[in-house]
Amino acid sequence: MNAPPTIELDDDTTNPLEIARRELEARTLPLLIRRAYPDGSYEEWHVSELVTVIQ
Amino acid sequence: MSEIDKEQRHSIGGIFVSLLRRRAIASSSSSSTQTSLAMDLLAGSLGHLGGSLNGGLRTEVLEFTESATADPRRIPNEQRRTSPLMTKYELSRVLGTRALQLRFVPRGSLAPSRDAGVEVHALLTCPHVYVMQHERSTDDRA
Repeated sequence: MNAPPTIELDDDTTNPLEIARRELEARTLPLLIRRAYPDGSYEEWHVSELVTVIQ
Repeated sequence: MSEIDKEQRHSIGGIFVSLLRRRAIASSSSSSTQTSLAMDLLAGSLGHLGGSLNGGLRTEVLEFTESATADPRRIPNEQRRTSPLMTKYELSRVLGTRALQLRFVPRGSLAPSRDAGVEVHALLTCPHVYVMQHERSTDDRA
């Protein structure tokens, strides 16, 4: 909460979901996705590595 | 600290500096290894900047995640088999998690802003997918 955005924003952008979407587009979203296998092993993908298909 | 290492720190932004530092710690390596790590990072960042969507699969961040975790259960990045397409569940999870982190919380509220930097434990719509933050927030206004 109150995390600093990773991108420059206009003053009128306050919707956190909208900011998150723009960070995703800018590929600066600082998150990892951990995809787990049933045996306990897992792969880690940075969000910026993954191709997003926006519906 | 080698020359290329210094140049690396100068030319690439703060996140990569911290990547470099963590790598050095994680591998407790000689200076020659550090140089090659720095070159890896440079190559990764260049590929990232110039890359298309598919070209972005090997990025500097990938290098970082590789070194930051010494968990034997973690599959090395070059051996990953899952699709590079983000699923709709992952998309929802990631956007929702990030939106919570970005959400403005007034001072004095009961919301625990310190939690913003730690791993998210909750299971989601997709039980096999976890999302975690790869770096602590630099801004601690708790």
